Amino acid sequence: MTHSAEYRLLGAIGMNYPLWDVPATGLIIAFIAVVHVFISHFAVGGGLFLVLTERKARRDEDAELLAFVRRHSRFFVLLTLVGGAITGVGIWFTIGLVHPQATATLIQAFVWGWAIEWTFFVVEIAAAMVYYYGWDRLDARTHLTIGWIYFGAAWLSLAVINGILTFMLTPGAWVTTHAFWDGILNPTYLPGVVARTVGAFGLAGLYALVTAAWMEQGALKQRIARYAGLAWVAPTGAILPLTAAWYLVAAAKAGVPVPEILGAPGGTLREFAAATLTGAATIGVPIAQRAAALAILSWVLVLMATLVIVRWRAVSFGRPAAILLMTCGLAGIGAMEWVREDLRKPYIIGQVMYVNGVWADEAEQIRTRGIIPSALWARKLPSRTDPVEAHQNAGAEIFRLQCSSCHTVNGYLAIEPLVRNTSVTALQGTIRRLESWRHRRMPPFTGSEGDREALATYLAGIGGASREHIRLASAQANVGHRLFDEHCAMCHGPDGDVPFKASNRSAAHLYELIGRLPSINDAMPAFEGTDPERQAIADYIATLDVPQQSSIGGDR
Amino acid sequence: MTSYGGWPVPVSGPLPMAAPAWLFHALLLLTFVLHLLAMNTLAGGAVLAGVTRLRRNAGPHHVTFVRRFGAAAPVLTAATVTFGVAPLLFLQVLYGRLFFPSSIVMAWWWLGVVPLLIVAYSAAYALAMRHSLSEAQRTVLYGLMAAILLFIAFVYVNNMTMMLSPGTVVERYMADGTGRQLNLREAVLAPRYLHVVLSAIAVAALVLAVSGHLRRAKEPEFAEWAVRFGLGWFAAATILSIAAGTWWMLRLPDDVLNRLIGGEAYATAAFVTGALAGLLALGSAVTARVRTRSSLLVWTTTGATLVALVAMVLTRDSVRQAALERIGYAQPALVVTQWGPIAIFAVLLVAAIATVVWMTVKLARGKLTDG
Repeated sequence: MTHSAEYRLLGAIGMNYPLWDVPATGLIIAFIAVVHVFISHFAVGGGLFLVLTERKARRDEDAELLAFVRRHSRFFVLLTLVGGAITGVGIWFTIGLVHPQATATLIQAFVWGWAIEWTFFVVEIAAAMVYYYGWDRLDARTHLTIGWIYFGAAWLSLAVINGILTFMLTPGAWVTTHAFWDGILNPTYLPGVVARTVGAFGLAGLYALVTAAWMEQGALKQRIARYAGLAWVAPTGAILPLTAAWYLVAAAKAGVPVPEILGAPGGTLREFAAATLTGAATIGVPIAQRAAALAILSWVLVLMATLVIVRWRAVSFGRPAAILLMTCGLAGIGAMEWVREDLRKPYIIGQVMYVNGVWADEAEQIRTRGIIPSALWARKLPSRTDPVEAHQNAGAEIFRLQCSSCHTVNGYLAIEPLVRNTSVTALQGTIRRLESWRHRRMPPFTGSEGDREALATYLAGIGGASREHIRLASAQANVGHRLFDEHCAMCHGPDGDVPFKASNRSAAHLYELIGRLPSINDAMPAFEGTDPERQAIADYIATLDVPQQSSIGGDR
Repeated sequence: MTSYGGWPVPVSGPLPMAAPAWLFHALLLLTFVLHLLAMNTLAGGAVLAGVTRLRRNAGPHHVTFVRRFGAAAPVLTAATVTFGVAPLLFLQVLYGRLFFPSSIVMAWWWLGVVPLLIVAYSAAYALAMRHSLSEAQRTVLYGLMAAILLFIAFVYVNNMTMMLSPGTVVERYMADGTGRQLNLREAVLAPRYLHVVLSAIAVAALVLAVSGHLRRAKEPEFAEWAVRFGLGWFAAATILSIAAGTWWMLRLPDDVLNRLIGGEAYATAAFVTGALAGLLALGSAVTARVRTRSSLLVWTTTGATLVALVAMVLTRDSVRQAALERIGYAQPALVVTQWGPIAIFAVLLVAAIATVVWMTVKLARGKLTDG
């Protein structure tokens, strides 16, 4: 196998790293990150919980409560050190594998932020261990001081990482200045750190309830349950939606189209409720809307469960309750983090780098040069004499380079159902308008005309189009039919969501309608072609009175 | 023969470096030394403890050693991980363009380090905290810990060698990008792995000897045993490690080897210092086994080992630099030093060290009370 000059071209910066050829690698990050957030935020809130409860126990000379704190601290140290610290490192490992381009960029910009966070991490780990080992060896005041040090270091660590995370959504002035502090102290920093802190305290109460669930029935269990439920879970539960709203408003102010993403373009609560709770939205990011629903549901369940425990079951609640609380807590955290991630689409670093690693600045360069020459790690295409096959191979590689960071063919975010029975021209049209497609927040297709054609050919094949159809696609004679395919058939073709019927409307009437598509249905983009093209389409669709023959060829 | 050859390397992004390369380089080496000390004690100690558990004629001192190692294992793991993330960060700043691609070629192996570490860490805590475990269960846990840590070391050596061979990375990636490969065809892989594992055992054995010796006033018998046992293992492991190291040198490309033996001042100084210090440590260790109460010999062994360790880290670094030169790897020219964050980091680092020292001293001096 020879590696000739095609590998020596310096790639566009954004297509610089190899892609890990495994489907849905983003889910690996999601899994490790959600577990880590669930544990680490508890580590922050739990630190405060331990210190305040210890102080209370000592002040009240309450040996029972002190024993509880001691037991809780053992569980705490084990979970946060083994689970929390290592999953945090796990995120490090994973992001370098799944998105080295973004990771390398974040490191270049914020290495000193991570170095600063590391100093807090060192103190946090040491303090946790000294706190745990020091129950019998340190006097009360020193032990409490160690606890405060732990909490302070843990919170500071969160405060730094929050800077980098919120930067990814709303980089603010950093986009022009590239200044460290502009990046860290960005528009969603403050609401982010407040929301996470409130969430951390809520989780602390949750975990305390879980520890109490394992206790024997009795007065102490009841006291802990009431204390954790009423002093920690309930207040944070009440405040958390406000902090979440603050975060979303700040993001929207910074240019993130929050209402559209959540399926409520008008910005009303009714729309939002319809989108999240009933899945009625036709625009936005469906997964984000489902996640928002899950977050709300989890929050309600946690509060209700806590209320039931505190009011009626404080003496006797056990493992089932604990499992319910932990499941809902994990689901809620996961859902909220998922929404946060989806708000960022189509970027991995807001305004600057798309999810597929392409720098926004470079898009023109790649469009001119083409995707495969721009990608340092493009695979050598097998040579094929059949032009259709050659096209499909190129399209497959383009799909791998530009789309597979999110889409699989048949699995997670599968592309096959989206392109099933769709013609090459329809796909070309959609690919050209990808970034405005149903407000799904897709990145623009960054490739040449030839790349677009190749990708459309590949996708049509995935969707079941015959070779004959693909061959014919470029030769399609009827201009109006071809234009309809390109601009409209994705939804209005025979296999689309809303197959078109002329219903005796004249070509002139249809011509007028084509001129004001968004006013008919705001999911439709305005028609962008020329007047003759508009007329050709109107002439064509005026003939669509009977169920259409599929424009895709017969044999599969 | 390892080939480096003119392969393309990812370009650096449009962002400037946040500090001159030498600063990241210095921090990388410093934090890596700290990581090595903790990791050697942990991994080497796990091997020693595991082997000792399997002895049929284990005496009371063997038991004491294993028990103390078990109690210390969680702290050692925490230290290893904490001091491991720092060099990993600086490695990615300096060499990410090589490191990320090689990591991706071996993605599943690399990622596997994380759950394995959780298992090993949990085993450490089980050994330290659960006193109701049976003897058989404890032996299994020690074995598990040792096996996992030795495996993690193997994964790391694969990555660290593959990242210096972009030709291998490209070839392997083009053959299979799913992340299932290692770097098994690498010429230096086996000797390098043996050398670092044996050195880790040597360091851990030395730590045992020193920790025993420090307690000689309160536990004179254990102290004598620890020095004899520990430095015996140290000597044996060091001899084998020297053999493995020599084998490693012979597998290096000629131009790299030449640097170490006179071709380049920095490389030669580091290597010769390391080799001589290592020999000195070996000599004083062997002698100390006979004269087990000699503090001078114990401290000479310790000092020489530390010098050897640092010098060998610098030697390793110069071998890496030689490889980078072959590849034609260069740091970005644009540097915009972020003085503010650096200053804050420096201040916080001092504060963090002071805080940790204070807390540790408080704990160490704390008397056992009724709680």
